[in-house]
Amino acid sequence: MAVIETAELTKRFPAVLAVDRVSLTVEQGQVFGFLGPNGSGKTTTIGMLMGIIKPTAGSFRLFGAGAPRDLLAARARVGATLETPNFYPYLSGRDNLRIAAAIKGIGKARIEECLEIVGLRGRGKHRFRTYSLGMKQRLALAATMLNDPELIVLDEPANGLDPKGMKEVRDIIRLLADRGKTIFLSSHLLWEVERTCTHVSIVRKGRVVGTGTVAEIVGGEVTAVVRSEDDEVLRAALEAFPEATSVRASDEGLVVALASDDLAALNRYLAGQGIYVSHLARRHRSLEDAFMDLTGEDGDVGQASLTEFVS
Amino acid sequence: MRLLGVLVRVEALKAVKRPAFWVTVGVFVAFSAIANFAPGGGSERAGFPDAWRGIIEPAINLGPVFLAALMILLFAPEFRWRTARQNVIDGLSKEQFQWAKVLLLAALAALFFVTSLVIGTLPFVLDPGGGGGAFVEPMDLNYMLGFVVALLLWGTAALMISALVRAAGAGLGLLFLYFICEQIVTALLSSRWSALERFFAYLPGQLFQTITNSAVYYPEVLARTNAARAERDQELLVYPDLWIPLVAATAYVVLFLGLAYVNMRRRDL
Repeated sequence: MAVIETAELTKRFPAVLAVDRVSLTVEQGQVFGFLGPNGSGKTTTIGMLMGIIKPTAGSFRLFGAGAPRDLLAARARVGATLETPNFYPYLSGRDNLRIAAAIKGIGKARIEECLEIVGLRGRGKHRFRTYSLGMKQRLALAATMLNDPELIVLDEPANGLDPKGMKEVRDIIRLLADRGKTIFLSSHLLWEVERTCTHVSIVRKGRVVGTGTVAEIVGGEVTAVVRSEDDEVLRAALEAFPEATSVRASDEGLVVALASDDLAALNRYLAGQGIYVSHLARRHRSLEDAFMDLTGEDGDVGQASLTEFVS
Repeated sequence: MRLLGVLVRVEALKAVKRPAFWVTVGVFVAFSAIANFAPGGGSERAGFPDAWRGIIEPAINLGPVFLAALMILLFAPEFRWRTARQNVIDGLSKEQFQWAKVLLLAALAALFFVTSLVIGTLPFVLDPGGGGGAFVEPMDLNYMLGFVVALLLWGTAALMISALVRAAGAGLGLLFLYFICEQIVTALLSSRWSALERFFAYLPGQLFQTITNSAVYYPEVLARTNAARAERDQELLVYPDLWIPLVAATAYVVLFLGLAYVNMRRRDL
């Protein structure tokens, strides 16, 4: 059963086309990663699904519901948080959950249960503004869990967290996934997504450029890391190599995606061009490689943050 | 019905836990108490029904301003904190969120109205005076109605500005700037083109001044004022039928609510 279905969903702001004819389907039980560089339209897409942003064109369904009145009922089966945790800074964590619980029609007992799950029961009475970023993210997760939703939508849940905080958030997401929840996770932390998600869609400049299971997206392409004395000359040569499908820079050297796995042929070709490599090694293709190839924008996704979490 | 209960509960929790709520109400209570208890201030100590004018007069001028400020302080930050969007994500429609704010406004208006009357009548409870006849006269009830309309006029203006501007500081600035500018511009233009005065009388700020003026409700006040003006060779004051400014002010209340509603429906959160 499709939990989320979008068809040609489009959002145009006065100065920018934020979401461009996005069509995707999220089935029940999937942990679905929605990936893209900053500003690629991820949050806008989620905002349309959650009813806070009006689509310019296209349509979507949640649990099969498409009409406005039905969507309101369908959203009762969703727990979601967008971008930064959105709470009243002067209220305690517990009071913030009381507001969300009242809107969702949930009782007090469940508030305590959710605070317990995210490890905030002891800090529930403290004001939200006194929380660390990790605690704020955990409170947001608690709020999404209040109504025991069938679909959980998380937009950059690990944003700004230190490694310990990221692990805590990842553990909670796994716990929810193990309980059979459908999770729609927007992120640009590819290593996190690769470890957590079953399916992914990659967006670039508002358009879906790749979608499928993680294995399908990563694909069977061979990639190799190549280094030589002169990167510029090497890059030009690699781009001219007939078997190369893409070339990009990384901390390790130039990463070239190849149509065949004949690295010896590549070595011969480079030698023939007068380039003698100091390093040539086959590399396991990661989601990051697929992401970089599909988005085609070296450095546009916050290269530092990517490599920091991939390594 | 369940929805109404949810909206009331949620807005009550947001408001009573907000320090700005208690500070604003506290300052209003303090000003009202000074106005009513200070020597020479407040009500005529003759007892009811004559006391009502003195009770309502300070409240009708202060209350709407405090209500508007509080409304902006409680509503506008919901956009900066993105809690408006989170309330919608959690299950309210944008229209329901807007209705929650209308309920908040109604509750605050009732709070300011009742608080004003309680503080105003307190001196008479502590020191019952003379008086006689009816407890309240029709013109007192009209004045109270004027107070309610004045509260709603400023309150809905604040609600609309909060929804449009989405920032407390800018909202407060815009609201007060508008009323100040309206006074200045109408005074300047009226002095040059007196024919415009009839039109200006229906601007929100001018209407507010009319419906809060006790001379509109109490003929003896108007007579006293005009007698003083006659002594100074000034033009005598003539007010339209009471219901005209009250209906015009109510029309603004509906207009402001409508604009806020349309804005909420159309704009993204």
